[in-house]
Amino acid sequence: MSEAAAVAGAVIAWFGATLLAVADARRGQSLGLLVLTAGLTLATGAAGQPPLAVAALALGGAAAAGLRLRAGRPGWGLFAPGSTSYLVGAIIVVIGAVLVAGSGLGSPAGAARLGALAVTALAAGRVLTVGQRWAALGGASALALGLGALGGATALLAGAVVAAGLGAIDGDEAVEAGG
Amino acid sequence: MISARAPLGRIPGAPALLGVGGVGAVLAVLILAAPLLPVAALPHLTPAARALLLASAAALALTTVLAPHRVARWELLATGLGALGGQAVLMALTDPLAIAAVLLLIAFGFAARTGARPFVERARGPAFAALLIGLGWAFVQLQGAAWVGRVGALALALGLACAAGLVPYLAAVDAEEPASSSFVAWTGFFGPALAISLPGRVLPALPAGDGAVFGATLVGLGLVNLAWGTIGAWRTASDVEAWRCSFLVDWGLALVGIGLFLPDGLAGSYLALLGIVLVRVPLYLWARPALLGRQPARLNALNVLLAVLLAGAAPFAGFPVRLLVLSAATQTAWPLAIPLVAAMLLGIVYSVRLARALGSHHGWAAVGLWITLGFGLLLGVAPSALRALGGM
Repeated sequence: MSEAAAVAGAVIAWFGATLLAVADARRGQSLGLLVLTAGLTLATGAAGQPPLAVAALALGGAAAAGLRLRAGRPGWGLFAPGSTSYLVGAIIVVIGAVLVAGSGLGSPAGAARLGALAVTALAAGRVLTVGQRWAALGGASALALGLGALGGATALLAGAVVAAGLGAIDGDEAVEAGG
Repeated sequence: MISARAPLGRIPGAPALLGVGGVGAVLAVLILAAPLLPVAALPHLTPAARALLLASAAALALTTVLAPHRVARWELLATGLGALGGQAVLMALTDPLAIAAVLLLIAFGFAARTGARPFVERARGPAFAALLIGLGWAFVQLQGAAWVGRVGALALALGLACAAGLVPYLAAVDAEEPASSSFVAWTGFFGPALAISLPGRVLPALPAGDGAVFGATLVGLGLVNLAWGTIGAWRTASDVEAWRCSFLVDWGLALVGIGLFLPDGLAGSYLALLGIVLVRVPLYLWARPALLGRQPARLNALNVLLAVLLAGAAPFAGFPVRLLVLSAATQTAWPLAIPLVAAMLLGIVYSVRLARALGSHHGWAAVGLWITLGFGLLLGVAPSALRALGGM
């Protein structure tokens, strides 16, 4: 049962990270963050991580998703022109994650780790390729959640705090322009 | 002395900056005082990390009070205290994944400060370092094929170089950018914190083969940075770039020292990192008015002394570092000493150029330079006491 939950969580997390990667507006980005947080929460909970740390991850991710609604283009912006490369990347990431960590797929912890690896890779791709401040911050929150979900209680707590902390940074491009 | 007095109310984000400074100061004090407090949950620092944090605090106090600045001193202090807190957390955490996550927050937090380069460009390098460290550690922990662990060890070593902004992850240098938004924050502040804590966190968990990859990568990166820094500081047309290259030389010695996994090498690396924080960063801040063309470059008596210090000659900071790293290199493989000695000798060539670029300072700024020279002398004449302080 917990194995099925962990695999389902990993798939949801990957789907959320894919949504985040193809989102070109604030609502789409927040939706991606929410979905990937739900997936990582389900997967890490099923993998037997301490409930308090899992709850912290959920709170941190939800806070980051909420705070990211403050800046960026209005609307959903899902699958905008130019998102094909991110979709291809999302499929390649699954193949890569299975190659690296596929041997642990039989256990809930292994499945959760696979989901976290996929989120980490997709979020990193987002951070390293976008040019807008709000998009980079959204990607960084997802990266923090993914890194946190790769480890134990300390990493989960750190990931949650960092994701929420990154959400607090102003994503408005005008802040930068104003210097 | 160039200084700015900006009223708090007129600076955008001033309350947030003061908040970050306050949180950073509290974190640094709590982590430093953890052994004295009856709270077991507080993270503890290793002796070497505690020494580096104290050195950073001393350098921050010195540069805030006495160095010539274009930004307001309260702004510099708040930023510095925030950075000090970040440094303390980076060194106190034991889980590399948590370290990677915190590195991410510091990367974007510092990129949010005003700078000449775009926000995303400034955050990208350290964010990539967080990714390398996080994924590297995850790969090392996987019970999979042997190559996955090797790739993980490689990523951990590259992550350390990336966090410090070293070759092959050099970012563009813009002389006009405030020092706290420039490469100095990573090469001179957070990088040393990671270098002093991360190897100690990951090495005990690495199998022998992965450990060898980690060490060899660090030695390779160290030699590349040493060569790049030495030739760059000598040949580049820009004085700012020459100063950045001089950081790479110190880092090259530090990385070789860590990668050799010998007590002498580790001690040399620890002293090199202390030297970066306590001597190299303050001197760069003093050099900035001349580097920006607001003061003529000059070689007076104090600058000649500083040239000796910057060359790594006795009795100053770089000398014991060079002796210890050479000793560790000859214990491992004597040919390794050849590039090290060559780089050390070439250091004499560019040190005069760097000292000239410091310009001439008077009043309190000159007092600050003498104090920095004193720090350099302390590191040079009392390495044994400093090694004992750092548990080396």
